[in-house]
Amino acid sequence: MDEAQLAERPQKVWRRLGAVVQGIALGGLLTWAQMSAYAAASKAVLFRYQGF
Amino acid sequence: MTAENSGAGSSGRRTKIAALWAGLTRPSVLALGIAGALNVATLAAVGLFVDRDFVARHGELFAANPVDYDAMVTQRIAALAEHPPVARTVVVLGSSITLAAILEPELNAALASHGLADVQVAKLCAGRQSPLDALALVEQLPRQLRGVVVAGVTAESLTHSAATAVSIGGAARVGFRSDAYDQILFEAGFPQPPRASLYAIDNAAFLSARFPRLVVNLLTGRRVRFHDSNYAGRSPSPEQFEVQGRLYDRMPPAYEANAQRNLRLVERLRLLTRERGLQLLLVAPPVNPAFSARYPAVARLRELHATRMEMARKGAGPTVLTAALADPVDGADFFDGIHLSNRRVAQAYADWLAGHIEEAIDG
Repeated sequence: MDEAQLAERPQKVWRRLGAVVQGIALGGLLTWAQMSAYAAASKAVLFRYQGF
Repeated sequence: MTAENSGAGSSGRRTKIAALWAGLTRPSVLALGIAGALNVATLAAVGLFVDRDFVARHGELFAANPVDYDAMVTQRIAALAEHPPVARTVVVLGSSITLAAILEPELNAALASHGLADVQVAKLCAGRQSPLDALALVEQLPRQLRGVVVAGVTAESLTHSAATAVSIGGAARVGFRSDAYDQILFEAGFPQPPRASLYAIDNAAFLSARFPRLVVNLLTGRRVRFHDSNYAGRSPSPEQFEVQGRLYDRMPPAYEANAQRNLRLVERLRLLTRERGLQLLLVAPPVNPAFSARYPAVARLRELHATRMEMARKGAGPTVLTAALADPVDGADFFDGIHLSNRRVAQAYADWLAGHIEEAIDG
């Protein structure tokens, strides 16, 4: 391993960490959007208590 | 530390932040792979772990607030179905009017005083619960359950139209599938959602509608404790009385159009409870005399209902029991036009009801 590769290693770790965080955020958003779209499509609104 | 070293350290930090930012913002196979895997894993986890037993144990996680009675009913009916009580059970059904009139602690005390301390109360009331909802709930009861079903039948509960029934059945207010709901949807020309015999798929509409609430409740560690009644003990609200009064203009025509159909559903409820070996008590909660005195539309609704109940009593229709309380109720006993708030009246009503439950159980 040459010096340039050694210098690149910590950067790679930080880039991967960023990609992992991005993946988690995207996955969460995707799931949330899917659930919301399904709920809207099936007219499944969270029922608010309105009396009688 | 030399100036040179310090400069190198700061440049190293900047490089790391730049690398982290690049990872966060640039699309990459790793990020997309994690997003896809997380999505599939979440859906699979919901499919595998969220079943009727999970809802029975942790149903409050799907609740928006302590008066989210549809979530409460979903949890309680799941608990009854998953863990059928050995004790005789009194299942209470009805809309918020019944919910406000039949209080659980008062009913438990009244049952105990009638020698029925071993009887368990399962209150399954929810705002706008219609006779169709009551039928759907009784369908879910375990076959081995023994006891009495107390169903509140009010003029208001007989005003629900078929369209309301369809919107309720199709909107997944509650997390269970029912033949009664499916039949109404079918009759109204709606496609019947397929049944996969997997709770999460069959109730995907309910679960997805409440998914954001589940996430928030899990993240905040909040466990909703359902209120027995959000009216009990509250002083009367003249504002709510007025607001409700204005809503009643549309009620008499709705009653005339829908009462017959709803009474047929009550008759189906009677047949279903008989088939299940359960006793059925149809009861009318106390009504607010000040409400009908103030609003002609309310008086008209009460008149229409009284005439129909009298016809039903004389004919083959269902008989609805009206409490004969020692002290007459008045406007001050209600939070608004229809919801009972005076605990003393609720106590007297529970006592009257416990007497009928005792007769039904012995009979």
